[in-house]
Amino acid sequence: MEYFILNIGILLRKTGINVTITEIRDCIKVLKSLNVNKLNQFDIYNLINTTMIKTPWGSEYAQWLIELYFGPDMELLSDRTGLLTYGRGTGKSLGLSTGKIMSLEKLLQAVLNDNMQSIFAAVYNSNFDVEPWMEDRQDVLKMLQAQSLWDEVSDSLVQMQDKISNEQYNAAANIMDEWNELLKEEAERQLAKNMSEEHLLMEMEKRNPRRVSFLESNDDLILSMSREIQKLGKKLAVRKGRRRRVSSKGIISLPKTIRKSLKTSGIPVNLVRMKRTPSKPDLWIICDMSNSVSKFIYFMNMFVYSTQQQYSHIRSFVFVDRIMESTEYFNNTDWESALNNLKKIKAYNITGYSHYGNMLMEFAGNYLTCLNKQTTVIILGDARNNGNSLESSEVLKEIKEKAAALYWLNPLTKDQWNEKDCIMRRYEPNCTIAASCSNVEELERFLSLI
Amino acid sequence: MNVDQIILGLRENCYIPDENTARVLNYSLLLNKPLLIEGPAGAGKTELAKAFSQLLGRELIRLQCYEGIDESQALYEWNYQKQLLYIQGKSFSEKDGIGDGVDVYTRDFLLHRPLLKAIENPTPSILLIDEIDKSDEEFESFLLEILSDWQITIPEIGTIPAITIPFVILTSNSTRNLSQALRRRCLYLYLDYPTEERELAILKIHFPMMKDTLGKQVISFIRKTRLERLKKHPSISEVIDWVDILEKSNIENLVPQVALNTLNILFKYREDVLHMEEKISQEDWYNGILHT
Repeated sequence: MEYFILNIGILLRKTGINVTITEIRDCIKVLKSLNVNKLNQFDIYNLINTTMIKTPWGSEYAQWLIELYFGPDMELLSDRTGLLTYGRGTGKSLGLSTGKIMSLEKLLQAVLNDNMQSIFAAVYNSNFDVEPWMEDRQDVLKMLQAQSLWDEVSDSLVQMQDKISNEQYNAAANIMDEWNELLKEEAERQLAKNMSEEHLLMEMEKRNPRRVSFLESNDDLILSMSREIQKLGKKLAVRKGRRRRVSSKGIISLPKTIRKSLKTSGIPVNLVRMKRTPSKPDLWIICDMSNSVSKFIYFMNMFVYSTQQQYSHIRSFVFVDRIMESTEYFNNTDWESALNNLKKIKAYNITGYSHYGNMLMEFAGNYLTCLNKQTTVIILGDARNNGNSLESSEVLKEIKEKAAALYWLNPLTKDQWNEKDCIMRRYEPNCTIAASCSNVEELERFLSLI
Repeated sequence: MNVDQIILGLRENCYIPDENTARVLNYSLLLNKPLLIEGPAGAGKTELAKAFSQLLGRELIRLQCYEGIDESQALYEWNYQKQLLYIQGKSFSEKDGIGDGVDVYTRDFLLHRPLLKAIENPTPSILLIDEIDKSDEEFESFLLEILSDWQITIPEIGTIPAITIPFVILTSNSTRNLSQALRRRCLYLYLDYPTEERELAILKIHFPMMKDTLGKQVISFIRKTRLERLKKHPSISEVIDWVDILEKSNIENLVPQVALNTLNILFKYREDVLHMEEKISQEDWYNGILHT
């Protein structure tokens, strides 16, 4: 048991979740004090999240990891899908012996009677065996669908559509979808058994909201990623101002203290302290709105607008091949609606291909003179110039000189910066900081640099 | 104390926990480790700490964190005015100036703030560090020594070990990431809004005479509002206040007009009120609530 927990801890570390030896020790200690002889999946899942992962999304992550190692637990499955009416059921209690598949008639009956318990037992009592050479998820899924008679049941259902009511058919279709989800998870589990640890770690990283790439994120992770991003927002670009104000802590201001002590016969009973307050800079964000970076732009705007109160004013610009100021769109509505409205406009997108050189030239002509030393400029984009000869990297130099700072956040990894039509390496020397920002963790790393 | 005893004990103190919460509290007692509770505002994190302190029969010492809090508000502070008066008094009585051996850095001049108070309490207490995410990272470093070694170091006096070890609960609304150093010293619990059954049970504890129909309608309405995109979702305490008003107004059925008239109790932002007014006026949205 101890080795198992240790292995889980080491695996979690490799996927970016910091687990210390103390936390592993705590997990083992609690497990021992619970006096469980047999590993109880629910306890393990709960314990791993409480002692090792420690995040709001950690419970789902632990559940996925444990199911990969042990197979699913009916109770856990019902937790995640929200189908709380399910109870525990084993194949034996339903008259199934391990390895045997239920007959087509019984399976069809189970689907029509909304008996998910039987379907679940049928799936997990079947001895599916995936060949080691099979790597494609879809191929494995098709194989499982055939072996478990899912496709035959599906065909039978379609043939029966005229003989049953619409409600019954829709309910049965939902059961078929859930059954398909079970088969997908089983396919993943079978593949995981055959995959190398390296591959397994890659799969685990894809489910870690802090490590999954913005460009590859799926709907399941968007909420968790959004929460992580909003927490980072407070760190962005706040510099201590030069002005001091009276505060309850900080350096003692001798002149003010002495002045105040006049009220108490010259005895400095109350000290006057001064504190440097952070100044609120202006922020200009320039977003590439091309399709290749749309998810990245979504998260970055969420990040910036979740901390609006940190800036005195935010000015935003959008571009594909031409630049357009979009500040007004964000002023009167929430950022998400504004972004959606902007996508419908064509003023900044004539050809459909991003042209950074043109964008920078237009920026220099229209907005450069408005920059000052209180302004922080952030460019969000992948620097793919689509082979255009005009690069305008000298404009970046001018922006950097006029503004407080120029940051460029690129969703591509640094080794991709000189590949194909990406010319980031030419822009990088003219930025205060040019950072690869493909996931939440890299964004946090960027924030620690500024 | 086992999980069932914790569940029962908390219920007796008007807090309905789920099994996971009770289990994590049990782990925390077993390991004697601080417990970090994260979750949305109004999910019951602070109430859990209060109910748990009543269950264990321990004093609750609360440290409410805010932006800019430092060790002088949390750990200790020198009573500067007392020190000054003492020095003045000594210098008047000894005409040559400050006498030998005047030491103003002793315990007599120390103002005990919550953390120091918790470890110097003669009986074990519960230390609640509320909304730790509102403080800054520098403040977290002050907590590290006390949370791992149960001692505080005061440069002028030395290390003060704990007389009794408090049970520590930290709460956070997840507005920022807490440091790894703090997280690793704590166990973790994510407390989300309750399930329908649990929320109904909470309402029944507060309002034993509440009609079943109204209770279910209220829960169904709240469930739907929590799926909406709002600036702030109604917390459990706001739901309790709302039901209190409904009960006092002898409302038996949650018709749309009643919901419209009482929105301000649940929603504290104008945009949210307007949004919900629009939703309630949509018949298909409100369908199902009345017939629950």
